[in-house]
Amino acid sequence: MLDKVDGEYKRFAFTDDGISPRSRLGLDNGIFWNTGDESDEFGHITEDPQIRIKMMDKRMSRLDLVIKRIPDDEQVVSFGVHDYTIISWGSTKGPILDAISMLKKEGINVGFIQIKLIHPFPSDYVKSLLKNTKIIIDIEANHSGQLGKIFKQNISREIDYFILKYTGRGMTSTEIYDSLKKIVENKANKREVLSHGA
Amino acid sequence: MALKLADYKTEVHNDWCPGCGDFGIVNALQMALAEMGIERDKATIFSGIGCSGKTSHFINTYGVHTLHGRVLTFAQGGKLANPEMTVVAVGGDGDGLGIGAGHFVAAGRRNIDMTYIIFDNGVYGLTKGQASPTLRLGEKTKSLPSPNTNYNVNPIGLAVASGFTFVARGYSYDVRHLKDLIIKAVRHKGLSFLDVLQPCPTYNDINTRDWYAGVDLAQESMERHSRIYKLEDMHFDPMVHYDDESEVNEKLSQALIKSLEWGQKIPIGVFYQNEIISQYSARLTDRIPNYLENPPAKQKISENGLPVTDVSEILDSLRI
Repeated sequence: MLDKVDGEYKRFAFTDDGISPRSRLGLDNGIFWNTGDESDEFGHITEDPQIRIKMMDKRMSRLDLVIKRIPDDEQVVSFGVHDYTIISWGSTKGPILDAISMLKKEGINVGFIQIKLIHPFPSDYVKSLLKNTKIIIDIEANHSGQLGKIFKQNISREIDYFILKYTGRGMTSTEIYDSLKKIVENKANKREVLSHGA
Repeated sequence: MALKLADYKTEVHNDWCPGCGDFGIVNALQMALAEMGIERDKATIFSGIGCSGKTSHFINTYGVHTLHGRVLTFAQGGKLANPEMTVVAVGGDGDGLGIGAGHFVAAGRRNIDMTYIIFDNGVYGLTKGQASPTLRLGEKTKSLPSPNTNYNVNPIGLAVASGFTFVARGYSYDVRHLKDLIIKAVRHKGLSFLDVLQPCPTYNDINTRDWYAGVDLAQESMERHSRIYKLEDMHFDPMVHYDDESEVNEKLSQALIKSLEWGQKIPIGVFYQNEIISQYSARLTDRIPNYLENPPAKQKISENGLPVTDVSEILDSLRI
């Protein structure tokens, strides 16, 4: 963010790190244009193929920067990794942790990594966390296992089991516990659908 | 150094059709900015989507080319963040009165001190001339397979009903008159609306330049007979002079009745003006006393490339 601008200013200037110094509306000499179409370095609308390529390359190079800038624990939170490890995101976290501690009392260890950054996907980090895991269980509150698809797309590894709930009700620790137990006992379907709640 | 008209032009290639009415509006807007001597970095032109959307790229001030139907939301945000800035929003009638009609009405209720100009040509010119909201029921422009099945929106009437405090109409081939209207609109204290009749030479073969000039009428009466006339020439008084219900009602009703004139006689000029209704900034200042001295645009949001806002305490308080 610029506090002042001297000389010619280009809001979308090509830079080494892919980030251009930012003016704001009303700043002296900081005039720029915005558009929803492709733009040149000033921000003016353009359909020039060469500018398009440079702008897209610049834009997309920031994904690498994002992965470097965001702290690891903001990307993925690991609650332990075992032979059986859960991946999940969002509101399922609480009941998953409760179900894991119920199983632990019975001497069954299940790991859990909570994936917080979906795009850019922290592929290298997730891969390194799960390198010794044998069975990956995706727990999600939707029909299609959305995180599982993104996981497979980025890691090139299959999800072994899905535990899904899409009734509009929150997951309970007991139903997660039941499904995990079936998985450990090798009695589960590849796709376990939860239904607790009236 | 005083700014010249040329200082408000950019070098961006203009790909509007030859004879497009949009040229007159851009010229009038540049002339108005130059005449008012508004510093280039103290004005922002917001534009919507459509042929008119490129307007912001042709004017050498800050320019924000936004989303279809959403130009007023961006423009109001810009003005709220930076109350010292001159804000002009522009867009087509399809953009502002079709998909954007909800925002149009909401903006009227707020009365933020800025100007909105609609390029009104009755067709969606950029997408090959479909019927847009101001095309009349039963009219069949060039690219329609059959006559229009929808009734038209009355932009002046809608603006008056929604609470716009300055409502006027211009004609894009009367550039000087339009320039004067833009100046009045920008100087108006509150939200001003300008409906600019703007012939689309490519797709609207009904409301053409010749039609507005009354060429067909002249053929009948053997004399030049423009359809367009100026309200000021008829001593029409659009101004609400004092804070009284009957005065306001009278000025609102006469504006609405005038807005219904169409066909042989089409009025341009100021239909309605009311500076008694409070501006949104005054309503905000009642709640945030230092709003005008410390608006969002003057507040620091980052330091060394990182945001200064720290939400970690809030997040920690939510940790379980």
